[in-house]
Amino acid sequence: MANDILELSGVHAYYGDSHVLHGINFGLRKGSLLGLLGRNGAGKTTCMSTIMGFLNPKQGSIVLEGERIGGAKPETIARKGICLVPQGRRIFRSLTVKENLQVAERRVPDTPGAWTLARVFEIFPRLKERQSQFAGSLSGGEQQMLAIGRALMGNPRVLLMDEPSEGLAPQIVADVGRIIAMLKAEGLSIILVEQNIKMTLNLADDIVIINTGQVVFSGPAAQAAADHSLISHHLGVF
Amino acid sequence: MQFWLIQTLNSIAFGGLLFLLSSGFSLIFGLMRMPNLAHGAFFMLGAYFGATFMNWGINFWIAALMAGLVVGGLGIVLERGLLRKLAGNAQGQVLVTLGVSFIIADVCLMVWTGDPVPVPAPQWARAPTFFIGYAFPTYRLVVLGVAVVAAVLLYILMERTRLGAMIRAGVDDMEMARGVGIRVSLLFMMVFLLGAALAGLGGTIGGPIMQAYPGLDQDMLPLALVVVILGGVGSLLGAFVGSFAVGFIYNFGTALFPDFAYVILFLPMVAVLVLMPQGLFAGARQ
Repeated sequence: MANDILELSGVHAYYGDSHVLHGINFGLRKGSLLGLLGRNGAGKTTCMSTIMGFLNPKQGSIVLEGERIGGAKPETIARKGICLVPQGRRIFRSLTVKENLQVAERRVPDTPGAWTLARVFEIFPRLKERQSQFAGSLSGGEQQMLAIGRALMGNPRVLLMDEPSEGLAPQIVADVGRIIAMLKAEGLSIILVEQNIKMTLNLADDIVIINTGQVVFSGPAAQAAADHSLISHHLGVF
Repeated sequence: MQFWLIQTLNSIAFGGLLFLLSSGFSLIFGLMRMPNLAHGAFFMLGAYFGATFMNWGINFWIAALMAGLVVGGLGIVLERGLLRKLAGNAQGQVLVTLGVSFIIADVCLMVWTGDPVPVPAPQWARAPTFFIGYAFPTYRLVVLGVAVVAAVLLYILMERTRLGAMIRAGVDDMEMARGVGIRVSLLFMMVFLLGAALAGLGGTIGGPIMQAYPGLDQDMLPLALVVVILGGVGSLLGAFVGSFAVGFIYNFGTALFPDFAYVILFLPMVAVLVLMPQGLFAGARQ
């Protein structure tokens, strides 16, 4: 669609010989939050990896504001402003907190509200307190904050968040939810992959459900939330 | 007493030399997950080039820097021309670097013949230095000084600059480093250049102690491997401590138990491989 900042059309991706994504189509509206849901193994993380360039799509196109980025190198995609909060956090454990943020910095001069070290420390004061500590010594929640802060340092045009609440205590999950809501309120375009369906339905504007590598639902979050049979059939909950 | 003091100084100087060799080897191994088996050949080339430049009347230090640059350039050719094309094929890369080391050795034999080529120390460093009544070989103190300066500069580069943090990020998680926009491919080239240049520089610096001779590459490469296995892949601190540990073990082993020098050298390596396969310092930062 015309106001989509990111659009996937007919994307097929493989892990070796294993055909994981079977013609994925969806678009992320600029300034919106899209919740990407699906059972374990449905292809959600593969989808994120393909957008990020970790996997090359064998067919189909991935377009960022009119520019085809499918198959580009991950560093090229990141420098265009697609930033990932990866599953499992994947912070650089032997770097300090501050270094983790600095290596991901992408400066965007003359942009009001651009993300800087100071601004990341403002929303994550714990990271400021621990800026000289090695990232590997942080708690799970702090590591998640660092993974989010690191992605923000890339001044994202699109933020990909892959299971940011995974393995965190309920209180920390609530904090993560608040931060995502704040980023959305700032107008950031976000794709959120989550197992926490309630949180996703609360935060998302649009929902895409994938099952065995195919899109089985794409529509407003309110419509998905109201359709219990859809959720229970494809996600096995409610 | 003089024996122990001189052997200690020899060990420290040799450790410094090993650091110049193994720090680059460790960085390349850590970032690229690839043991560059041509690294010993780079060291030998550095010794030959240094000797040749000095024969042309060039000052020792400039000759050493030039040897480092030439060997660093060769490292870039190897990385861009061959290893890049074998990305993801670690076995292929190892075999190619081994093949390249044989080619370099044969080319050296053709160019510089089979006779050892002496590499003269700077004139002012040839006389011994007298301290507390003992005579110390001055040049070995110089080698130690060069190694310490190199270690400090490498430390600053790796630990105090954004570039160093990017290299370490690439060592930690290469895919994710690319995912935050780090041009790991460019870093590969720079690290390869740096590692090869250090080996070349080390070859010239080590020349007055070891000379340039056919087989120098094969003598030095196992030592670099032992250093990296002891210290941990990609760890600068590990390379530093490992180099001096190997310097001591190798020197005292050779002096005291010449028949068992290699047993004494490789036994700690075997023990570390069995008990701490990541090396003594691989996790020191985390």
